[in-house]
Amino acid sequence: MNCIICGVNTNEGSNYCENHLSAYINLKEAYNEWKKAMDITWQEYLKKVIENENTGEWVRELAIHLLNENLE
Amino acid sequence: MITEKPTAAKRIADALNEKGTPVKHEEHGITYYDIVRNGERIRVVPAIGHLYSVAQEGKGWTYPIFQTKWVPSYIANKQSRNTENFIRVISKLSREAKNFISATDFDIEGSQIAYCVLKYACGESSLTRAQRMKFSTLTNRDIIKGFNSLSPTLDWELIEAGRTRHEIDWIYGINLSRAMILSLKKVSGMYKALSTGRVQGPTLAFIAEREKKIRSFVPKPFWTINAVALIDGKKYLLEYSQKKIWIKKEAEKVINECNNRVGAVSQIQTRKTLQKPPVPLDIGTLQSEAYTYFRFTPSRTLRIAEQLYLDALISYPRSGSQKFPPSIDVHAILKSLSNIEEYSQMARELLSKEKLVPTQGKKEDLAHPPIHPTGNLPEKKLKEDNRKIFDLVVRRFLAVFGDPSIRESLKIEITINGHLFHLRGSRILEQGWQKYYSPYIRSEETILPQLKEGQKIELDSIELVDKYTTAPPRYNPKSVLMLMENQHIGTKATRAEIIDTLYSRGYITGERIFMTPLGFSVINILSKYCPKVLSVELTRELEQEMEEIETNRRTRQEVIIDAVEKLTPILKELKLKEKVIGQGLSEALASLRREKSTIGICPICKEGSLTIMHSKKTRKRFIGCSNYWTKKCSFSVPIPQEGDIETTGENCQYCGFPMVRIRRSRKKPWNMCINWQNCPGGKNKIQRGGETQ
Repeated sequence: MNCIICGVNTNEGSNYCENHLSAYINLKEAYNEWKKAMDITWQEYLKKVIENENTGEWVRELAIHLLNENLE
Repeated sequence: MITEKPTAAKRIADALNEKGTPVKHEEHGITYYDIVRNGERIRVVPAIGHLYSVAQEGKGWTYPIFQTKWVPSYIANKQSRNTENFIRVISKLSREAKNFISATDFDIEGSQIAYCVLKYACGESSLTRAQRMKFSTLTNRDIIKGFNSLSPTLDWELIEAGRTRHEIDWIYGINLSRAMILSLKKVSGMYKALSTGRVQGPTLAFIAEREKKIRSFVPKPFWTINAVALIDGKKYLLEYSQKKIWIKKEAEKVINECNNRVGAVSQIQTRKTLQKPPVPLDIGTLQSEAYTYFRFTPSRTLRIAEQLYLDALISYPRSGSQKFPPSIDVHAILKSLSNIEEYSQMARELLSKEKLVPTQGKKEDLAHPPIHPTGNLPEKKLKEDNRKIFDLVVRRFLAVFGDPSIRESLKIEITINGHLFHLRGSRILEQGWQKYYSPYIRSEETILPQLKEGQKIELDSIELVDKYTTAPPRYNPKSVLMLMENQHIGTKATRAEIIDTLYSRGYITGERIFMTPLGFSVINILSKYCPKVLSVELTRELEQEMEEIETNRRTRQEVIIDAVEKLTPILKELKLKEKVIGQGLSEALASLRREKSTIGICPICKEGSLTIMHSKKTRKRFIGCSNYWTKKCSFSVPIPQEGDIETTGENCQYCGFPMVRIRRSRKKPWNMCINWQNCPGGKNKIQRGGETQ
């Protein structure tokens, strides 16, 4: 399979390549901390992450994809 | 007598000659000198760094290759053509010599240079007739001292360690690099200079690890309280006792409870701290300071320091020592420095001290003292870069003999409705060593008003500030150098060069280091198919073994055999996986080329992207819009035909068109607006050297 974000070969059964998969894990983990810090929905969270200049490139690409596709 | 460089030959000849001036000769463009010392005729002949290099024994551009030989550098490397005449002249002159003296720099490389010259240019028998001269500066005093205490034989431990290092590095570098180049060639038919090596691989792996952390970083929110107090009509920023508040509601609660309230001083604490002078300069610290204050890359600093050493202005720069031995004549150096107006007062002040005791660092290098001024004064005005490094070395030298500086810190606690804030100030009470090193210290003084405990404090404003955590910082040449030093990979002489290679191979880019797709690809491939090559342990083990040669605990043969045994299975694995490796590299190169040729969005159609294209008719290159092929946009502009062109990432301040940077070999890079034919910026449209005019 190819990564749905960058097209690079992925490990079997994964939609994401190694880099975007690690970004996905970080993004999901960080959401728990964002929720503890403030009232925020998943969609709002993704928007804030996309806008933030400190966000890593792979995370931003992934967040844009998740937001556009309305995915968790 | 063989010296490492022509400048050193002249200095040594001048210092040792007892009658008149040395007799100068020139042959094939090489200058050498005849001198007389203790009634003996000595001919001082220079090398020009390494005149011999490791090369492959036998033919064939393949791998694995473990058989090596030493050949003249001009044969191994076309860029070393200038070494041919040196070898020719030394070889001819050696026939008349009765004995030989190795007067190259006293380190592994220097010993190795002289050994090769003696063995291959002067003949094997010269090795048993050779003595070693040791010195740490090129001042007359040190040269004469070195000559008067010649070692009866060559420094064999250093030579063996040097030969081993060169051979192992060559074996690792050539085999691993060829494995990558040949994999790529087999898959795509394309040739590209790719490389990795014993130290290069682990260094690149560290940079890649950081890059991955940065690219997969998710910022987390936190809040800070910005409170400003109004005291005697002046505003002071108060620090909330909790620097980061991780829950927004808690931060809002603080604001609500402090808003429109008056605080009171609850405690005043003053503390005096003693700041010891800095430790003496070893090469790593000099490179680090020069990067911090002048933005000089480590290799540039080393180059400049070597020039200053050859001019006898500073001691040998590749020193790893932070401890001054008692043999350094500090008084004489200070006395001499007092003749330079800039340092005169400071040097005199130190000379008036009863006792001069330097601070000592942890690092030790028995062969050389820390980098310090020799006491020789510049004969002519120094070039700006050289002046900066000289100044840094001199001031650091003065500072290590200075008194501790004393700083007073003041911490005022202010309580506002049960919430604790701090007001911090500090000032220098005694400058001590800092007055000598002041241009290279970043320290600020904050003077606070006189306050008493219980005094009321009025708030001017208080607000909540949204903040986010940031990714770990990118490496820069200085931090990579420090990382290599901390990880004990590479040597003080080679680290800067390895960083340069990572840039020149296109694996990393920018002063704040970014990994390129090619760099990532090399790392991904190596970590997938032969992670050992990236292992810092393997490199460290080999470093350790090579150091053991210097102390006579291991032999050259043992270490080389061990290194080859470690490398053989790695190469076998690479050979088996050539196809996938080649595929990965080929994809990365294609992506790199695409990225490099893209300049930006087309300013005319605002849709297509501007890329570097080539005319089918003339093969000349130009920048054109990608929509040209669909006939939607015909924008194109001519560009220089020579040099590498890349985007600067910025737009022209006059017309808004993208700017490009042109890099030509041995020339300063310059920036250009791609709309240079019509840009209203006129003369300013071209900005040489990347600096705005």
